[in-house]
Amino acid sequence: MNTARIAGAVLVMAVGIAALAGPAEAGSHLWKINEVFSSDDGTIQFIELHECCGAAGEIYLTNLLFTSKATGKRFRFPETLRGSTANRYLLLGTAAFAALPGAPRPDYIIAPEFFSTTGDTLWYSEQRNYDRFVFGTGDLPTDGRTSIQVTDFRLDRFTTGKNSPTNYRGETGSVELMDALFQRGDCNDDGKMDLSDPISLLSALFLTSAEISCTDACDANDDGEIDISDPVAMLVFLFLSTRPLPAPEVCGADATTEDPLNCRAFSGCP
Amino acid sequence: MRRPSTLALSGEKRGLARALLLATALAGCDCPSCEEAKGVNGWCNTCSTGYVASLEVPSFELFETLDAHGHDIDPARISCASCQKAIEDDGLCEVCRMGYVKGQLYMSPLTYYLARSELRRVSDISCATCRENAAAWGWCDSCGVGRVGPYAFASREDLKGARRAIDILKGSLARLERCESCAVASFAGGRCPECDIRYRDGEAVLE
Repeated sequence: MNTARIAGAVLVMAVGIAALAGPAEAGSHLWKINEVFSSDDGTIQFIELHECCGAAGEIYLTNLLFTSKATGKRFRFPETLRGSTANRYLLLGTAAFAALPGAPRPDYIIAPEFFSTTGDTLWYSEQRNYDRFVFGTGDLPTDGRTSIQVTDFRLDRFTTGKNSPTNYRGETGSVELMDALFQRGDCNDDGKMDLSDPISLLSALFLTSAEISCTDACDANDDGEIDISDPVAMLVFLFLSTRPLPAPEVCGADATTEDPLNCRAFSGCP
Repeated sequence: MRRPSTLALSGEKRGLARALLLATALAGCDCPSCEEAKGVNGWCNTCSTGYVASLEVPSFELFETLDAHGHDIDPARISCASCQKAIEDDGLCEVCRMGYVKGQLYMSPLTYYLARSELRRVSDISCATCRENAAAWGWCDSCGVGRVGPYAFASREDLKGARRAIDILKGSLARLERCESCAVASFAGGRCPECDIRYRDGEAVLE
């Protein structure tokens, strides 16, 4: 009787182990969030992952989720990768990003405004917390040229620089979102340059901190900065000087592209 | 502590788990899945707990961070010169804090030293000094072997490294109750985003 009881228990054990064990759940956890880019309206975004450590077999991505905590949006990886993954990249990008000249073809398309431009937590595999990158308000440039580039994934340390997305095939590129045309000095974008422009700029600088959609237009002396010298330059032009402000005097692009200013929108020009 | 939803047992499997536990109780054994997990630094789905270096790791997030297995590598694509030397020497890269054993990558000093060890059942040890060492840790001059629990090391350096790494893991486990993210960060040498505390070598650092 005892022998039969023990034998029965052993049989249940064997069956139970077989039923509960299942296949080993391989996880590809050496992909790290490497670069993050967004336009100011979030329609053009990409996230680049990088295999950090030279591991060749980090291919098991099927059903892992990439998540934005701020927006709640998720992307589910559809399938296993092929080939050696050592030191390679994965590129997730919106369709609008994919359509840009200079953009390498994303490996996966994500929804527009996938993550927040004003601070977010991005997870590669929220289920298993393989990698998490946190950035705060003001960390993510939205000038259409610059991206966040992670320098230490353990400490969430990053720098910013010219974007350089790379996909799994090793194709790399860079995108530059074109600025709108504008008129120098028409800071309030009402179609003409007059006393209201230095007044609105002084208000934005010292009273309201209102956002300026076309900082190039307000940079009246084209020195690459928005400060008190710009309304002064406007007033000098309006009342004292016949010399025009730096180009463009009518609708045009900023010839000085090496400054941090841009022109996201300017309704006074086509 | 967070449990992975993907590893939650279905109702049918829970019933089977109960039957299994009953059967093992009748046979006088512990959870066999746990015993199996202990032997391979694995996760027991039955009890929702893991084992690394014979220590119980009840947090799946920390268990995944421990990453207690080797990774195949492509040496030609590794750019770190220190890693390249470590691959040749079966050594530890102090820059990247990763180790290499027989061409496999281990993501932490702990798993590196475990990979360099031999797992031996204490009941199989005949030397009295070694048995005493296996109860805690120590080196046996007669046998030329160091032990930390069931792990046997061929060099004093490996023994020292393993002991230090296991102490770091114990510190992380102690932090689990307060903050799971701190437990993870303290092991990995990272930063806890919840508490904004940075860790190095298992200790919080002031910044």
